[in-house]
Amino acid sequence: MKAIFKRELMAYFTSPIGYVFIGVFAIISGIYFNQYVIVGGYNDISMPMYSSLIVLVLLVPVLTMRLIAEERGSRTEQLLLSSPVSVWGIVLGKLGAAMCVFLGAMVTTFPYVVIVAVHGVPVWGKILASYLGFFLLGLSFVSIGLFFSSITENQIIALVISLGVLLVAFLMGILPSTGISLLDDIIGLAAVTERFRSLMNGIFKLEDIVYYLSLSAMFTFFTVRSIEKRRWS
Amino acid sequence: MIEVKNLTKRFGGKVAVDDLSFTVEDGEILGFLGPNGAGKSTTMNIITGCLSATDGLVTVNGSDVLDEPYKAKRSIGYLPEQPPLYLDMTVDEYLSFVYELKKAKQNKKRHLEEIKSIARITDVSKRRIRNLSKGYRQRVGLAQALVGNPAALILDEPTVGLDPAQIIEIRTVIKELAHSHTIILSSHILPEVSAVCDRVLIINKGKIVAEDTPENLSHKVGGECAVTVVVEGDAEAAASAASQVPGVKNVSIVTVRPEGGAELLIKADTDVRRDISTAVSTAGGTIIEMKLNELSLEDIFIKLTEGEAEE
Repeated sequence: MKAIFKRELMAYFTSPIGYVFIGVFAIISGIYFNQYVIVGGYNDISMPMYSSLIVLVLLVPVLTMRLIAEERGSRTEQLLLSSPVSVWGIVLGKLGAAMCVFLGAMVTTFPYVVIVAVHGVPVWGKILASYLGFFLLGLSFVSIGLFFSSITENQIIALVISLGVLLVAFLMGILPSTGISLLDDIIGLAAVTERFRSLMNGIFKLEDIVYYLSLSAMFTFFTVRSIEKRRWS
Repeated sequence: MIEVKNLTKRFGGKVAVDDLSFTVEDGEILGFLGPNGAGKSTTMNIITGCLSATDGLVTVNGSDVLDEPYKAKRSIGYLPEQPPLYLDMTVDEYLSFVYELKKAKQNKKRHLEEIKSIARITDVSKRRIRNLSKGYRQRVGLAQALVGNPAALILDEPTVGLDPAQIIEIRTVIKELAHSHTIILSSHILPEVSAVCDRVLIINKGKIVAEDTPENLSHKVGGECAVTVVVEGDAEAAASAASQVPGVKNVSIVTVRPEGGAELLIKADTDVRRDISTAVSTAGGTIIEMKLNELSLEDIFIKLTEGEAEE
């Protein structure tokens, strides 16, 4: 698992993907932060963070598309499967590497916190909750992307499917109520980004945290199953 | 070392490997021979744990591949048909990754240097795999299989797609490795198997068709002996003399040479070379060339697989 984690992390930075992910995120989120924090004078980073979610929808699939699809395409999967590593080890190593790049992107927003702290009165609880929510949301997105990378050996297909799924999940969040309670419940469950709202307002709800963690665990499990299924089929 | 019992693998309705059983002894080189799609790669993938069997048992070094996968996998080095290379890494980075992945215990630097010199890739250590030629890539793939010094090597068509010089080089490396490893090697190129292997397993449609040493196989399937003789002088007389020899079934004149003399093909039940020599010279002919035609693996292979097809 450690070897796979190291290799994946290295691969992100020997290819442009790691730089593109962090760079594009830093630029676009930077514009939002600049508008809210510096131009607008907000003492809060949750609003620009919420606005940056659409960037994640577009960028996370780029981050995850090659993770497993590439191994299948280039047959390096056979090296991993014939090594003394479990499928869980393989999947968690890859998930960890992608999350490290994601954390790298999160770190680029720290200067705004410093600016808020120096020039304003920061509400630390709200800031911490926002970061926690952002991290959990990222974990869910990355797990979803990882799963769709495991069902195909074509990176482009993996990219398109995970982009589509994340976009639908994002749109569910801004959909107006349909008035049918069952339908609203389903939409509420699919609206991955909306749980972030209460966290960014500084409300720790165990429900939301469990939601994100179980969503990530579920897709990680699906990923493992999808790799194992190919061995057994 | 490696024991395969009643191995069966079905892909949907298609049977790829059908009740296959064989064992490989310590230090043996087993050749896996069969047409494309015979189930060679599938069997190898199952032994190495990349695929799971529908039914049957595989033990490597006493460990079941399913029950104790880590122990079994540690004693196997696998070179799949397409070497599993990360093109964006340098050779050194790649081998170091494989070293960590396989949780090898050797002194890392010394061990990897040693492997590189065996596989003859020391001179490309710092180059990206993407920029290497096919022959070098194949050798990096072989080096990868050697990491951790596994007792058994499984090589799936190690020479496919290489030029003749590279084929000879890879074969030399494999022969050197044979001193210290148990090897299963698959191929659809017959001379390769007979050149390298102690024992050959011919499989077709997932079943073992024949299993023996390359020499024995040719005797077994041949069942008869053919001798080519070139005589000077009267070909007809020599032919009739040869046909009188006990054991000879059939004598035919293959070519009559314009300068005199002819080439005869004599078929017999046993090796009749001595008797033919005597008979022909008694009849006044002179033998200037004589050769025992052993069936090549090629002939055996075609015979065996054709037989299957007719059934």
